[in-house]
Amino acid sequence: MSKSVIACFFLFFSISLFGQQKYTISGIVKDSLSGESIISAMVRVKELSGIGITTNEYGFYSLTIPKGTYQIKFSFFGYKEKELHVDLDGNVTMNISLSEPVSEIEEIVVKAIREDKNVTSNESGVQRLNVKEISKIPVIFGEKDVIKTLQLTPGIKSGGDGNAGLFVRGGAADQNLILLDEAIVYNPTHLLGFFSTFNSDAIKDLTIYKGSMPAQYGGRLSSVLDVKMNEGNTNKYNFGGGIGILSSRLYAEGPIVKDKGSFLITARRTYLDFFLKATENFKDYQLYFYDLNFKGNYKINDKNRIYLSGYFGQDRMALANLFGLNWGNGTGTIRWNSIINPKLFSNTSLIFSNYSYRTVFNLSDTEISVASKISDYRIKQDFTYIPNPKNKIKIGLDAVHHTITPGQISSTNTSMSFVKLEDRYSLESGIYFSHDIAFSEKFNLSYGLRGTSFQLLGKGTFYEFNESGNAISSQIYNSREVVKSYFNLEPRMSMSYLLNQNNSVKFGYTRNTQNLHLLSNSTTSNPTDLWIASSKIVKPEISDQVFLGYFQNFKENKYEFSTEVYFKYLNNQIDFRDGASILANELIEGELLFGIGRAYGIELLLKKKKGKFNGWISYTLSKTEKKINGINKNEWYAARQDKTHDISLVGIYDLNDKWSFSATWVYSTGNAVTFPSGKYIVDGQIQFLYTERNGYRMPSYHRLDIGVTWYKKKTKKFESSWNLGCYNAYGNRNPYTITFRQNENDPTKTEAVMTSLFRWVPSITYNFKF
Amino acid sequence: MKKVISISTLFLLLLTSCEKVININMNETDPEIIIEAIITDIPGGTQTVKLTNSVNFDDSNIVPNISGATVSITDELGNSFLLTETQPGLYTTNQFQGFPDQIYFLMVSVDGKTFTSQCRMPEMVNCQALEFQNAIAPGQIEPNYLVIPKFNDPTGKGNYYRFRIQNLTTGKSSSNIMLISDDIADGGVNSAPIVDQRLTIKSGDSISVEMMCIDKTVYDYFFSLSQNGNGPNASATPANPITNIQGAKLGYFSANTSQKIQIIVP
Repeated sequence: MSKSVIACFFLFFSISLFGQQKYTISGIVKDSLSGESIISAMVRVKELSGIGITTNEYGFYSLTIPKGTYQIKFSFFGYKEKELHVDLDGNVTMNISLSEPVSEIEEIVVKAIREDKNVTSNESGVQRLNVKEISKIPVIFGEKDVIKTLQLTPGIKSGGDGNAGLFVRGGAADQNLILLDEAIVYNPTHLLGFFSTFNSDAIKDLTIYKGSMPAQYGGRLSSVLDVKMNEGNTNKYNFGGGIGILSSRLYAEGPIVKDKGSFLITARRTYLDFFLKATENFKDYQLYFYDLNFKGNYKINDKNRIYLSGYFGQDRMALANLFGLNWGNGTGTIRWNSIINPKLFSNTSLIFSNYSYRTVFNLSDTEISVASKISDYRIKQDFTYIPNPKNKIKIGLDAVHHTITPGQISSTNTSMSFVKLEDRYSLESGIYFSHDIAFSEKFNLSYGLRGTSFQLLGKGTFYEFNESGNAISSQIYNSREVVKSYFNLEPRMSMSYLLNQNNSVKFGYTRNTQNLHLLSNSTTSNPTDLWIASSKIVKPEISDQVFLGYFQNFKENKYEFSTEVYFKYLNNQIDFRDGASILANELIEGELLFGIGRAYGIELLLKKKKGKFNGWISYTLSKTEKKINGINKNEWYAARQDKTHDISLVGIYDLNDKWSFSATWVYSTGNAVTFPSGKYIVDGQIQFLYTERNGYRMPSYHRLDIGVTWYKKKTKKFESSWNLGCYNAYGNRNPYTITFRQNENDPTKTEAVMTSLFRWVPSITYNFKF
Repeated sequence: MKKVISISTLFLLLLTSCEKVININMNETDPEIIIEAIITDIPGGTQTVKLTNSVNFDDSNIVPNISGATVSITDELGNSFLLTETQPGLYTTNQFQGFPDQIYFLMVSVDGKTFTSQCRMPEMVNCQALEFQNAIAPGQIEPNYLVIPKFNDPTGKGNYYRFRIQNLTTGKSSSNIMLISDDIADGGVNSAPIVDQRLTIKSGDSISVEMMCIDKTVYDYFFSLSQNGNGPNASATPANPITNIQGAKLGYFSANTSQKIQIIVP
């Protein structure tokens, strides 16, 4: 530990020791119309080749170069490049507004920024999506969806129809750190996974890290999905939305004080339940979700800005008065950005996030409910120091307090006494350092270290278990008393070497730890899955990943090709014992088994970025296995999310500035699944005999989605478009579940029955903005 | 038309879902012995042990019986009873009646292999009444009666109950494994229903409910069996149930009380 810290500081100080008189240009890059800050805009110096920097998540940049006269170029994908003259004889602040081209077609022709960024940056295993880029890709129910789009890129898989999970490089659905304006979103889905919690009207930019995760992120093993909300237009008021068959959305944005502050409010609701009300049989049924996003920001002065953002969403399902299920996320973030000096940027955040679900059963006038909740309070401080264009240093710390309420059962009938489950408290804190360094125009290095401490706190009764999972002793702890603590060091590094202008190789290593674990006993993800914290019994999950990538651009950056291989070793993986009882079980930790996992694969991506016709082909070949004592005779077995082949084809054709056509096709090997190999009779009923865990495969999954967008003539005041789509256009029967039953005509035979969900789902959406 | 609209809007899950029988190439398995041993407290009742073998998935549902086994049950006092094979694979005795709070020992020898088990018969809990509630079960369209057995669960955890329902009017029996445990709600009058969507119960039907007080090991067996699987109610990753028989992979030995109530549904 101490050695690496010394090494870090040595590098840190060596940077500023040499060189002539230097000055700093800094500022914010914004969109000229909306006033929204632009993330990852490129700032370059024409006279100094290879010198450049990108804006951070608040649009801030800082460039320190020798005294002189320069042309500074500002550019971003889909915007006109801007060039400004500077006589650098002291520190300068330059706040820049970039404007979008006037017509749709021009947008495609416009020379975008560093088109070779995928080759030159030292990031590996990173996907960035700008919401504007995804608007033409067809999705189910016509609702453009950032998560569904991500699942079309290599290494990121979906669980199939009706499964909300996001599976990154072999990781499980709970191993993704999903952040909305820095707040953790515990359940990123609505309506059993058909919609994501991210309303595209509210989202500005989204980045997923599956390989080299920057040190400021921690707490999950397989990926970081960092979602940033729009800030709202600082110049004028805008209203817009979309009306679809199943859902509609609306937004409003505008200045609070012109050029000083702005706000954005978005809302979305599905209305299947209104149709249900009109029917006789299902008028008492409920099935809908709604969500709201809010963001406001205010510029105190040129150096300080405050942001406030929030999200609230609820899902409700009810079958008459018999059964109900509600769940929802809520998040809130307050941030204070401060430009301490032109080279030092600070961000302080106070974050709240909450996820809760409640299941209600109504029986003979008695209501029984199961409620579960997780709520977090987090404080975070981050400093970015940019001494010169070749170095960027980030230092920070964060601390979060978790309260978990695990599936408490209660009833309106007071004569029924249920087990009282204790809330669990824990404190998770991290301290980090990272340094990006450009050794030469060809060689970039980024390294970092994160220290994570986790403390399980009282009060409560904590149990110890024997090998067969029976509680053998218990100990009572007082409030705030430390029950168990863990400390882990998470080193990470990635480097890139430019072979020539168009080729690069990248290599990296990342260690991650995870202290909150989702216990899921079901074959599909379920809102009733239970979160638990690391404890005396449950140790932090650890993952070590190495990855190697090759990146190439050709035909003047029109095409990009990349291939990455990864290998992951996972420690302290968790699964249930056979026949585990998870409902309201205070001894749930006795039902768990622990082991190891490994995941490896190769990812290929070929993308055409420009022209009337653009799109990509993505292919992943991978394997994910687990080995847990007590399961599958202690042998390796395929993890449920293991899919050998995964292919996505995405094509978008812009006919003219009115019409745009798109299609996606996906194919993947079926999930690993446990099927019976034999059968027998108990109590007169056929039962099944299982021989190995996940030894079979679901049938493979494939689907074609098509979409057409028709842009109505744009006026200064009003824009609108129609979007027509069809999900699963050739109506393939994709597997949702496979069950086994006796043949109706010949009861001596057993047959397998596959249930499929969606065949031919048409959608039509009208989008508008004024 | 109205029906089409209403069905098409019932839950996204049912929106366009469809079923299809498919062919899956299942692996072959070696036959496993299944022991089903039950001792009850019914006066003059027959204690039975059934021995069968498992078959391959694609085979017929008629399972082979195991004949020629030596089956004995011993009580706490050391009295041993040898069971006789009255039908192929079915070993029975009328020589004794089970008593609550007694431990029984089972021994089965066949083809040179020996399987043993022990089970305590729990104290009897009396089922005072049956209540019915007309309700639509999740995923069903027609309402059906739920049965709520009314009994007073003794204070203190560790009481487990298993039920069987027979509709005497239609002649059909429940095929669900119906269990109630006091693990999550201890003591008091039970209000949890027992449900089998596949068994239709209508007003005026004559039904018979059997309530069994079972040992924890037997509850664990049936609970893991019911969780199992690929059925619509199953949620867990399928695995073989937890047997309480040493030496065997499958099957159970249950010493349980048995109470049968016959009633006309109001």
